[in-house]
Amino acid sequence: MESRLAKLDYADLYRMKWILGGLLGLLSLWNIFSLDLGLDWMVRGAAILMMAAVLWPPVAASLPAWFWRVQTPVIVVFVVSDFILAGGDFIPPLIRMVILLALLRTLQPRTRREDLQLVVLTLILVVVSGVLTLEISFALQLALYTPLVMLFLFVVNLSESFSPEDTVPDNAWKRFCWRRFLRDVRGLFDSRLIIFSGVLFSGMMLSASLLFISLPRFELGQTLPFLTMQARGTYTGFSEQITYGDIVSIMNDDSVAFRADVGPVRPRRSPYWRMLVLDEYTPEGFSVSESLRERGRSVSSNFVAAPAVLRQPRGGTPWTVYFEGGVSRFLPFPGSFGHVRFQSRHDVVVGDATGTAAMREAPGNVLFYQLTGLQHADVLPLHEADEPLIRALAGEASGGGKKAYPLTTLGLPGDAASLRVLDDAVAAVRGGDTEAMDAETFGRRAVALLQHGRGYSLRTDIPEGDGDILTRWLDSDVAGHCELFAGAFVLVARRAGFPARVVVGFHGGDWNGFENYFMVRNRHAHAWAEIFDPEQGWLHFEPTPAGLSGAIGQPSEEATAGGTQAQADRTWAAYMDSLRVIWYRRVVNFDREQQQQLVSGIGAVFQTVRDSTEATLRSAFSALREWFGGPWDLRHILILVRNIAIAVIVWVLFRVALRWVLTRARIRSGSARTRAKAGRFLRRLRAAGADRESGGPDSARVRAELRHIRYGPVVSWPEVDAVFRSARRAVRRAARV
Amino acid sequence: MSEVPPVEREAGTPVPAERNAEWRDPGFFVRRRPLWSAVRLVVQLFKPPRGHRTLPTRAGAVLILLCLGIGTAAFNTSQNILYIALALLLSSLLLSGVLSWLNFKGCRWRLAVSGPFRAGESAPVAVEVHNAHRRLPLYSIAFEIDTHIGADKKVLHLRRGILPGDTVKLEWLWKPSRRGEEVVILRRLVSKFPFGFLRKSIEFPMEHPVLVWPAKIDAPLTFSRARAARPMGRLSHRAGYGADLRNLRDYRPGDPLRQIHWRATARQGRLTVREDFEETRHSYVVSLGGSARQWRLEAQFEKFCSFAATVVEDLYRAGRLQGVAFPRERARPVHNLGELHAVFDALARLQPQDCGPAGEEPRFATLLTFRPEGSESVLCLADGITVGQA
Repeated sequence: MESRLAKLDYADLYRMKWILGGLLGLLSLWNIFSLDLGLDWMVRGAAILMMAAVLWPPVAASLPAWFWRVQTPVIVVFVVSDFILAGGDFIPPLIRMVILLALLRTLQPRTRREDLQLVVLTLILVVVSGVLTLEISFALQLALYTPLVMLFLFVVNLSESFSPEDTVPDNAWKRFCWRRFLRDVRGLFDSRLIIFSGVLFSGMMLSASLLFISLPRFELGQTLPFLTMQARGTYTGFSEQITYGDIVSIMNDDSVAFRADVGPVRPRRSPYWRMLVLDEYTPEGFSVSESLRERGRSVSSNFVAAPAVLRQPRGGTPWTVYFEGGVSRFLPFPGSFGHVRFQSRHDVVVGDATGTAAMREAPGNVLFYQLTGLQHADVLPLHEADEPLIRALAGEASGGGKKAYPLTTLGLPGDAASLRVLDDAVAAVRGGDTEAMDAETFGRRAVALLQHGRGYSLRTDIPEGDGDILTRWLDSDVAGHCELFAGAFVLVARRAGFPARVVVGFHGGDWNGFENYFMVRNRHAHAWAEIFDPEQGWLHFEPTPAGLSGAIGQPSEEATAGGTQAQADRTWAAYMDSLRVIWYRRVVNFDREQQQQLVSGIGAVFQTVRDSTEATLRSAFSALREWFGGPWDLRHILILVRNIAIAVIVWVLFRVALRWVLTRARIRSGSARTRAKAGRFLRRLRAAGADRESGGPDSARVRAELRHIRYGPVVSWPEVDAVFRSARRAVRRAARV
Repeated sequence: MSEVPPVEREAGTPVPAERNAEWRDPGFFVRRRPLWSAVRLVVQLFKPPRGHRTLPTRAGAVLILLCLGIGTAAFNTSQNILYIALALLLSSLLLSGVLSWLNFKGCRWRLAVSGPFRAGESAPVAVEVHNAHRRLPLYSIAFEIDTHIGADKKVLHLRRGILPGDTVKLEWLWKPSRRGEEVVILRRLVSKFPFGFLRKSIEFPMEHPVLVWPAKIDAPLTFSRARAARPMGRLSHRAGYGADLRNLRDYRPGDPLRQIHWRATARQGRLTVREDFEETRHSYVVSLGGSARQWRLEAQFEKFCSFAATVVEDLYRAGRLQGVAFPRERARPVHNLGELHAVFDALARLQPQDCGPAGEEPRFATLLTFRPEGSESVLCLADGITVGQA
């Protein structure tokens, strides 16, 4: 290291900072790959060029200066056009601009000012991609980026000593050879430096963690606009207009749709995550009627009251949902609750009558929200919006014209064939029972009818023929999936005079055995039904055969309601997923409440320690006072003397041990060893008789220098090895004499 | 190296010249009581000692702006990713400060000004830097040096790291512009270590007065006309350059190496030089006498000093300089380098108002005098005959 450090010149430093700059550029693109912004071609191209610049630096350096000068106006034109063409969506052109600038700075020969620009640009890319993705990979990216950028800045700073004028060396890449360069770089690092760097990096990470925890969270409520990413597309199965097969297509996707942190205790019932309610029948499938859509209550806040039918004033366990971006704009709710608490302000449309809520735009990245006081709900209570239904069921006229919600929940196919099939089904459900039947009884019987002799399958061959697709399936005995079961149930119920609707969302989820939370995958997408009871409200029904819903070609072990629970997932994939949730819980979702809890916890620990110390001291003091206040006889005095003697002996032993340890430490240190060696030489010279003045001027000089090393300050030592060599010669000479 | 250990000293206060040879340190942890030093260090974090300054560099300003921007965004959005970025930026500033402190802690330095300095000629002014760390190298230190009168400035950068226990010398080839008394000032220690965010400086003026001799100019003397009037040389019993041994004596600084008597040195175990009888060649006495009024023009007086110094040096090199007569003084004999340097020192300090008639007429030697010619030139006269012009 010594020789290498001495030989390090400006060209070496320039080469190092070039390669480090290229690596910084490459690293900053890492998370950009996971952004769904349609930038893949650009990111890939930039990554390839940056890699080329790192691997073949002389090529980039050999390009003429005018080539780089031309790039600036070209980039300006590109960026301006990009912003204009992007319309209002400024994030993709912004990221494209930063990538282009970072690419330019990575490829071109850089001065120190441009090195700093590269650092800023790559930092922007890292932070922006981290903010937009919220991925755990951001942590890894940051863990790599931080030491790299520190090393880069260190090299840039060192290079200033060589070239205060900030010039690019001409000979930087002449006869450049990777093998020699790597050998030279390896020579710079010895184990001591690596350990020191490791300690420094750990210290920095520790201080960053402490700062992260202790930085105050003001929660200004996003009063200033900031980067928010909208999804470029969502699953069609989770939209207002669903055609048959949309949900099945989601079920073929095994990726996680959202994760739900429900506390340490696993719920006994498998939750139904309602997302949207489809009230209107159409031949293509069920959809959200225009009238229902218009009923939405718009809220812009980070604290939104639950929809009226789901509102739960009583306390319960808070559930935190980490909803992946690009799934849907409808939020999954597993039951009744008090409020939805978001991390920041959001525009939400709440369906009070249906118990749903949707974002204005589908989030492009992970959305966090907490449901306070969550409780299971099988029945949605009556809402004022249901009044027309109650009147309609009581036989009052509902008026003409196009039917609005909630009367849309009575809509049926218009063709005779379908109605005939439905009539047959209603008759089968009633089973010849001519008495009036309540909604709950009818629903239970309808479910039994639908599930009788009918299996579950994602692939169905519905017979061709006239009429609605649902009634054709109902008329057959082929297996079906949740959409068919729920849709058929709703039509049968409606034909029997019971308002009914289809509910879409998720059912169940895989229980992560490492961190105890639900991993709800897209394959858990599900559809079920609700039937209206004028006395209770909307009753939940699961027409899909129990134990088979939500499976892709394989039956789930999970029971539909209240049955046995599936085993916890403890696979490697679940472990990796649990890391992500730890990241979400401890880092991304860390808020003022957790901060206050942490501070309270630390305060409680200190309080406990203080109380226990105080109690111990008090008891010791009172015991001492009692002892001193006792009768003073000979035994008492002997005990006192004995204790004092023990204390003195312990103190002396402690001092001796401490001195011994310190002496050993001093001996182990380099300077103490050198002093000891000088002392040995002085003794040998004295023994050989060379300590007299007759030893000559050379001997006197050697003795003086040895005494200097033995007793003098280290900073003023002469060349130690040379002195020891002279001393060795002097000893030999004296021995000969 | 026979230096004394570092002496703690309040930064910002000038160091006396006689102590410039001592190693200096930034004042961190030099006391033997580590607890007190630690307390003092904490206090210094809030109230920096006098002379200590920390300013953000361009990179530091960018970092602070980034911190402000990311901090605002973090508080606005409650985005913890932004809080992480902010925490990392702040801790990098913290780390930068700690590393900078560690780097400074191991640094020892001293000003090494040896001279001689001559106007128009380069001579080294050095700062010796020692790394007192036992394990860490010393990096990225710079010293700002300037001069008091000439206002010359130089920043000496430590280009390569100094390994633990090593010492390096940073040299500045200083070319003084004019003769006279000058002060070389080691103004401050500057470092941007480790990442260039902060420019930390410690004002620690170490002043070293130096004497700048007059410049050597190109003005040869022609003695052809004066030769006829030259008096014959006489035998001298004084020590000087010649062939006959007069005496052996101990070596004194300034003695020419060729005068060392090696055999006697070997015999006696110490350096011994031979003194010869001065050869009876014709010699000169340079008279710097004259009236203050004749040197009213400063530039002309400076030229006179340079011309005189050149003549004195040339004659000394030729072995034909008997002495130099300063105003109102008896002629000083100039037989060795020490005496020659003393003459240069006096010439460096000479002012027009010091001028006056020479103290004594030389015997057995030709007197060289100077007088102004016109408004720019200076003439050199040997017994009244012009032998040179500058």
